[in-house]
Order: sequence, then C-alpha cells, then structure tokens
Amino acid sequence: MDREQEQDLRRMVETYSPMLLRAALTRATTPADAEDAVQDVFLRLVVKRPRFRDGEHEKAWLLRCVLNRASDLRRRRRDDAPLDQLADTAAEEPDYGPLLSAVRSLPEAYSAVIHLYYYEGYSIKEIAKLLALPDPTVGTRLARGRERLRELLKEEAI
Amino acid sequence: MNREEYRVQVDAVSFSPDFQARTMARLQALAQEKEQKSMKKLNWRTGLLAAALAAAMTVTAAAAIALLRPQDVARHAGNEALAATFESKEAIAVNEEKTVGDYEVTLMGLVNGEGLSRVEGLPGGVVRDKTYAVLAYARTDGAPIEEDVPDLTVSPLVEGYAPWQLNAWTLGGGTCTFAENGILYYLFECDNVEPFADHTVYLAVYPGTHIPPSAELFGFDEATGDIEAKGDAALFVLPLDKAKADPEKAGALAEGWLQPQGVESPEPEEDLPADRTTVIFSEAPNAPGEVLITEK
Repeated sequence: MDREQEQDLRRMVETYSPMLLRAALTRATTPADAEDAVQDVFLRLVVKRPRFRDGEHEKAWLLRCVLNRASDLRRRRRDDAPLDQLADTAAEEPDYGPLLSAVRSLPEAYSAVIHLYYYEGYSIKEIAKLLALPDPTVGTRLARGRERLRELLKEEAI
Repeated sequence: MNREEYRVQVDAVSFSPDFQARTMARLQALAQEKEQKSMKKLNWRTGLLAAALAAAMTVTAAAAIALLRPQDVARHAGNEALAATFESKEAIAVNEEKTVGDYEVTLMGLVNGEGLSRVEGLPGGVVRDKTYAVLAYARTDGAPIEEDVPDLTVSPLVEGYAPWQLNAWTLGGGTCTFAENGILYYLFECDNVEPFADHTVYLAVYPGTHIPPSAELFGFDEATGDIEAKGDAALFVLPLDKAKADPEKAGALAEGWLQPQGVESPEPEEDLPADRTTVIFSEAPNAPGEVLITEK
C-alpha cells in the first residue's frame, strides 16, 4: 500500500468509524458484530477499490455496505444457531436501554431511517441520498417507524 | 421519540477502544497480501504455460457468486441461435470486471457474426451481421439488484472515431436486460464491430440510462484518435481478431449514420416475456443526431 492510499484509508477509518459502528448497531446482535460488519466493509474497500465521485458518495457507499453487512451477520448468526441455542443468542445481547432496544427491534427499513434522523440529525433529503431512496419513501418510513416505536414503548410500559 | 434519550442510550454502548488501530492493521496486511499476489501473477505471466495456468486459476469476484453463463443469458433472452454460438469455439470469453459508479460490471463474453439475430429474413435481403456482448452488473454495496433497467448505458466506441459520431445509436444498438438472483444481466447487440478490428474497439459502460456518449463523458483527441473515459465511465477493450478488419466495410458503417434511415420496412419482432426489457437505440428518420429510444 503506498503512502497516499494508506493516508486515504486512515482518513476514512477515523472519519467514518464512529458513525458506521452506531449505524451497524441498529442491526447487529452485539457491539462486536457491529465492529465486524464495519471492518469487513473497510476490507472490501481495499479489495474492490471503488471510485467515489465525492465525499457524499463515499459516505453513502460505506453506510449502505455496513447496513447490508450487519444484516447479513445477524441473519447468519440466527440461521447458524441450533434451535436449542436460539435463546442463548438472544441472551448475548447487552442491555441497550428501552429506546435503543425498541429501535433495534423495528424492521430494518425503519430502524436505519429512524437512527439516521434522530441520532445523526440528517434531514429526510439527506437520508434519501445516503440510502439511495426517494424522499417520500424516507418520509413514509420515518412516520411508520415512529408509529411502531410508540406502540412498542407503550407495550413495554404496560 | 425523545432524541436526547436515544442519543444517551446509543452513546452508552461501548465499542473496542482499539477498533480503529486494529482495522488499520488488518487493512495494511490485506493490501500487502494483495500486492504480493499481483506480483506473483505478473511472474506467472512470463511463460506461456504459466499464463494459461493463471488464466485457468483466476476467479473473479463475479464468478464467485455463480453468474449465469453467456449462453444462459442468450437463452433467457429467447435466442437459441445466439446461445449455441456462445457455446461454440466462436465465442470470445472476456470475464473482465470494472467498477462503474455503484456497480461492479463484468464483461463476460462476446460473439460476432451473421445469423445470430432473433429477427431473420428481413425485407430487401438485409444481412444481420451483429456483435453480441453479455454483461453482468452487481451493486458494489452488496445489495441485490431487483430492477431490470440499470442506471448505466453501454455503447461500442472505436479509436479514431469521435464517440458522439460512432456509437450504439449509429450502429443499431439494442439491449435485452433481466435481473436474476440479485444480478442484472445485460445482452447488448449492435452491428458487427469486427470490420474496425485494426483500431482499438471499446465497449464503454457509463452512468445514465440510455444516454448517447458526449464530450462530457469521453475525451477525444482529434489528432491521434485516442478516446479516454471521464468520470465514472469504464472502457473494456474488445479482443477482436485483427485479421477480420475490413476498412471498406468499416467506412460504410461509420458513414451509415449520416444516411436517412428507411421506415417503410419495419422489422418483424417476436413477443418477449414480460420479465425482460428490450430497448432499441435509433436515430430519428431524416434527422441524424436526434435520438429515438424505444422501450418494450
């Protein structure tokens, strides 16, 4: 790896890791799985060497890859676990707090949008760009995600 | 939803403090391994036998996810004659991969010749001498492709000819696309490009849906005839047999686009299944340069 490539990778790892780890956490079973998902995507960056138009394109690519990878890992974990160990897998999940747990239990399409809006503070337009979705789709997912969250939190309170 | 409460709960999750350092170490190790492998590959290619071995052992990322073969793509597109040709010795296997925007594009292979078109027996004894290329698109972020029309355009370009003067539109280009198992397959056809084989002939793939090549997408040096891709465009060099170059025929093909196209003999067409999208590029009759796109 030449110096320029190393600097570029270091910049991406330092700039995006915190945001990518948090996003991965909305889908991964454990923080360690979230770390694996993010690391896998950075490794993919070295193998595939995609060309990015600009910083926005770079960030969007990384985010989408991380969300997909975190979903894969979560599915693999669930599919690979023998039936009698499924309960243990669930028990591995740390105690995340009621709101974060509720977001994590949402369908993936909703949790990503909710997280990017409420934690990262992106607008609907920005989320649409990041996830390559039409603006109205993001708006709908945000509204439905909120609605589901309200129901989940209400159930929990009961 | 309480934003502050959510943030506090997310921030309370602890990740490994050495995550970034570990990641950088793994990236450096992988890059080093990659460099060593590519050096090994170069060494192998010094001998003929070694080159054959290297070719046999090269497994592209696309191949690793079990792509359909070109003959399967042709068969799916309803063209048995073309499928048979892709199975024959006439077929040229390419299997080269390039990144174009958000897509990993693999040029799988191509065939050239007569009698391959779905549409035969045209009025006026028109000979359907065509080039067919099969491409596969996968998204670089790993998300499956479900839509059957990608945001990419494919066009042949020939060194020595301006991209906006000789391209898919002037060479009677057409496409048939379908998505399967998250991969989009793209069967491209145009007039046989072998007559240009004494020039470098490219298959250009670039962002945009059915956009003719322009000076914004490609650079063209009028003095040398060199073509270069700008931005995200990729150029695959077509491995054509130079012995098949035919300057006279090439000249006729290159100038053909200036001739008004007849509209009195519409081509008979077969019905296509609903899961395929066919696009015909053409110029507006009597208006060279004005582009018509017909989607079916």
